[in-house]
Amino acid sequence: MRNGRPVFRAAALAAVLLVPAVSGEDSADIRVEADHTETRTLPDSSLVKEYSGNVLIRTEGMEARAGRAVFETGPGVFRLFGAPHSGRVEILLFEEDGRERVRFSACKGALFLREGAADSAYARGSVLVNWPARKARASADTVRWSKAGRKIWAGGTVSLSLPGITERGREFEARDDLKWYTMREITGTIRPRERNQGK
Amino acid sequence: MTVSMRRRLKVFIFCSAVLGAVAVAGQNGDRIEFSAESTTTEFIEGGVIKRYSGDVAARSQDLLLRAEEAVYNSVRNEIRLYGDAMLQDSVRTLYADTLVYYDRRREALASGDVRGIEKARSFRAGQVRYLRDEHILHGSGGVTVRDDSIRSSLTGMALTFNDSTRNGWVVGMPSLVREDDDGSIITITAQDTIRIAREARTAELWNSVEVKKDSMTARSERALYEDIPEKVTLFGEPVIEYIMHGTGDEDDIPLRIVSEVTGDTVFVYLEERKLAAVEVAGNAVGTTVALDSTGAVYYRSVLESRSMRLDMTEDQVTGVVARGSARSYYMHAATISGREQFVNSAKGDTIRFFFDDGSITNMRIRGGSSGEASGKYLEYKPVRPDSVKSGEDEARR
Repeated sequence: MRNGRPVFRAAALAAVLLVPAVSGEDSADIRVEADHTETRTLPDSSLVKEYSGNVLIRTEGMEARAGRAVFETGPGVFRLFGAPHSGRVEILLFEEDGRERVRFSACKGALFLREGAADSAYARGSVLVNWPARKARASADTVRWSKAGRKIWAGGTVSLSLPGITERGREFEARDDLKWYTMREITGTIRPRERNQGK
Repeated sequence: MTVSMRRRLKVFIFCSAVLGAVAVAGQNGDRIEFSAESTTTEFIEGGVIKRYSGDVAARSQDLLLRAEEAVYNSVRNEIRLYGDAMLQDSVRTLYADTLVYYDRRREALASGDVRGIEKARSFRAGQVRYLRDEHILHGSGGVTVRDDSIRSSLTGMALTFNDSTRNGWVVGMPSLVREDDDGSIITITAQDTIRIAREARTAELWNSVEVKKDSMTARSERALYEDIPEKVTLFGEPVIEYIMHGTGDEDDIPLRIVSEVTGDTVFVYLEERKLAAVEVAGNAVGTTVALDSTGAVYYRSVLESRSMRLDMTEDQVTGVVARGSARSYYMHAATISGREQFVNSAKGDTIRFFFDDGSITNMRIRGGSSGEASGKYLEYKPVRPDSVKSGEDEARR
């Protein structure tokens, strides 16, 4: 029950869909929920599935929310577009214990799948990155994430803030849990007292 | 008070509080602004380590730090700067190979070819510790301080300087070299310490002090220089040695003349850093020996008294007064021109020598065992066995 009314939308429309045959592997690791779905076959016989309305994609250690998602089986990629209410795409990565590791919020995004799981992700357009455990936030034009090496790259000018530290720079590279990061052409401010209080 | 007025008042109070807080935060210096070509940040237990490289600059209030590379540790609250490191604040600029800045206690440690520049002063040291809150600078590993405003340089093994009091210490074979307006150089060395008190305008030196200026060398265990009046006091077996070169008064032969003044304490009075007078207190002895080119004594004079004063103008003696049990002995060797050796001695309570153009013209002797005495300085006379006269003899004449 929500607000005293039965929640029937998800039950009625959002069939829980399993992504069919992702790279020929067992697709059970990727679950997609959406208000609506439509499947098309392209001339090269590859399958295109389009999901719309509160799209939720779940895979091991990752969750993506979008207003619309297009899945192309050939390259094994989900193309994500902003949700109607906020106009934003959200990609969340989780720790093994379920805590949120990092959250990307952007105008558009993409998830690249491999061996039944998200292998890398891409977000562009006013990207906001949030690391809740570090109390850190960053903004960038584009962000890429790769599962191999657990790395994040951000393009364009990156602004980063964490307790006691604010920085701007280019060519941001970090571990996805922000254990470390590097930037070029940086300017920034450190407030030692805040830094130590926010540790 | 209307609701609108109350609202305005609240806004005013809030704005005042915010502006006040911002002003206080700005004064605390609790903010470091960094810029660099690149940075790497690593999270550690309780903080971050940030590595900066390429044209690193960090600013905090009036402090500017620069280097090729830097590492900031938020736990220790320190910044380590490597390669052409520089620290600049409103007092001085420090350059060094490596520099560590401890932000919490506002302290810098510079090492490796450390150079410092202040308004009119520059210095070099192997290592410098700069305590900004205490306004103290410690230099070690061989230090040199140059003050161009007074054309002086100070060297030693270590120094401590207080920016507030402007007092300084240099230890470990300290040496002060100062150039006069006329280009002559005064060198002061000691074995242990030079302590400079800026407000009192004094410099104190101790253990085996040596002062050299032109032909004069002064030595003592301890020395005190006072700027007002311009005076140097030498304590502990003081000796002032003055070496001149001249010619024999009759023979025109080259002479090396060595004068030496000793006593319990010696006061050297200066006027615009030129020797004006020398005063000796206690066991005063003044000797002058003139040697010809063969090393033979041409003349010798010895003056002894309880105290003595020697006045000088333009590097020439203008008067000598010996007070208290004064004794004078003067011996002139035989001259080439045929004059025989002669000796002149005198004693009294006070012996006063008068000079003209650097040469003695007159001598007055006052007091003595048989009452007041005075006498004229004797010109050359052949030596006779019974011709050694006392001041009283002279007075009787």
